[in-house]
Amino acid sequence: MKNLFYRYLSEIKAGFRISLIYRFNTLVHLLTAPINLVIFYFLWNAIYGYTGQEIIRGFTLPALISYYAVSIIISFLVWADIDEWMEEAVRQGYLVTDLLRPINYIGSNFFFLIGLKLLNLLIQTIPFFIIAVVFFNVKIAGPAYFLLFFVALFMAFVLNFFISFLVGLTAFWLMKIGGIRRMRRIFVFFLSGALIPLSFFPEWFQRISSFLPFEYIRYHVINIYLEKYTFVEVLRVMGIQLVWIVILCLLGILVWRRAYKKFAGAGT
Amino acid sequence: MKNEPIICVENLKKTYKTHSREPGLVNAFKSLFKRKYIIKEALKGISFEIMPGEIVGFIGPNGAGKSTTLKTLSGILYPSGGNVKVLGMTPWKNRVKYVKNIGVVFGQKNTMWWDLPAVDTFELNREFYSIPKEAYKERLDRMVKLLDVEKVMRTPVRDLSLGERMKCQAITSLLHNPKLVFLDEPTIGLDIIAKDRFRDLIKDTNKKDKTTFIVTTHDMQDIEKLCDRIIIINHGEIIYDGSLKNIKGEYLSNKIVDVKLEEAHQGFKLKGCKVLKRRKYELKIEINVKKKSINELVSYLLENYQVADILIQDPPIEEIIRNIYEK
Repeated sequence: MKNLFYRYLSEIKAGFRISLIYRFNTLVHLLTAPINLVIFYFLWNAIYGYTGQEIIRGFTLPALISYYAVSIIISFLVWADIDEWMEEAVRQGYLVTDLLRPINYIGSNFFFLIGLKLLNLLIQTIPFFIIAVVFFNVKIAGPAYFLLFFVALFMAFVLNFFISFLVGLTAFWLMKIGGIRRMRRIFVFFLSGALIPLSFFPEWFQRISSFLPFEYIRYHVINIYLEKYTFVEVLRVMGIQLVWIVILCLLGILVWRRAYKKFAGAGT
Repeated sequence: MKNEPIICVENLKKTYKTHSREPGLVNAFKSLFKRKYIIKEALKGISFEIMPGEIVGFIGPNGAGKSTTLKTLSGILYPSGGNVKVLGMTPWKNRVKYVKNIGVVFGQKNTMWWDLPAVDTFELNREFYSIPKEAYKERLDRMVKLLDVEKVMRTPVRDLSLGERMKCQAITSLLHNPKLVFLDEPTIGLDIIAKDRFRDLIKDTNKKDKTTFIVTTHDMQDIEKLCDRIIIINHGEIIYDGSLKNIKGEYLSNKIVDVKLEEAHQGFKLKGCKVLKRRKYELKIEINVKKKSINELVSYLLENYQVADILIQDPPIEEIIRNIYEK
């Protein structure tokens, strides 16, 4: 148990050290994020001004700007391209060397990603949060909601990890999965509410979407930060997140076993 | 004998299914609908045992089945048939538990963190394999000194030359003091001095820690300097398993005789002998010892010429191996 802990800890450290090497790249994102936010502000300022309405689909203009600011923070911390690593590993053949390390494959990827994200937390998320509060009037959530937001954020991270991991597993059969990866990105982007909040979509669309995991990566997590939900509703969101995590995790383990056997040439 | 074999391979088989198609656009289109499958037998039921503390050379021409065997033994390939027991375990069952006990250098594949200096990989592996701090320091110092990588290991791995990387890779595979180490072409890219040092490291580790090594290589110097035993594999079958000395006895039918003369020779003719090089005061003769004894040749030379010097040699090991491959 102790050894296992050290193994995963060393994955986190490896991820962190590698992120340090590419710190400049990380910093550039810190510059582009406020630009994104400004563009969203211009767009929605025009829309609210044109319609002359105070509230559109449950959002005031300041609330909507806060929505986008929190959305960017979620992108910083949750976004993961494990499917891209996996495709590379399968195609280039260095999956072999991954498999020679005495660690669970899913676990090692997960903790490595956490290590990578630690630096994002320090040099992207916190500075951007300060910028958003100071220049974009994003309000700081109450302590209870702030805490709940972080729990939901972590679950969103896990959820997104498994979606990306499952997409990555298709590489074991298809070798080239650029198309599927792009589809995953688009699905996660639109259906999680990154472009516009889901409440802007038609009713029927929202109903379909509620049966999918994507909106639990972003939309509901932001709404928790914006204190749009009662505590019971927050618990319900987290419950559904947990159910999706369990489903996708089990599916991930199952498919991974088959993928590994395929890779190792079982049954030939 | 209470000494149990560390590796026990019995009738190991591996077949691959691949598809083949003729070249050209039309055939590429055809293959979308109808595929021709070929069954390739990479291993046709090989068996061998290896005892703890052995250094075994595993050789064979390209595509002979060396890598397939090594991959199966290291647990990342499922065999199609047969039994394998390594360190009392079946390698491809419970991979995580198994690979903790082995060290692997796989050809040119890199197991170090590409963007970090090698020393970071060493350090992370210390935690990863829970290596005690003192043992780690002692082992690392010894290997760093021996392979002379003090400076190299502080540069990001992506910036290293092939040889430098191989040295660091070797250290990575030995740090956790595995009982069994697979080295797949470990001396690729190393210069002569580095090769020597690398071989020293292997011998040293073998002596000190009783580590078992299995080495595949195309460099016969590796074999001659390292291995007490060689297994030759070709077309998925073991064609020789024994000591290097015996292979000479078994497969060697020719010897090379260099003769220097005091006077110019008149022409040389003896059954069972072939003249490879002929100069005025010098002869290079290849003798088939199955047809003619060395004794006869030497007496013939002494009787007919004023001999200044005679040198009798085995042909180089490369030649012997080539003969075996071609058979």
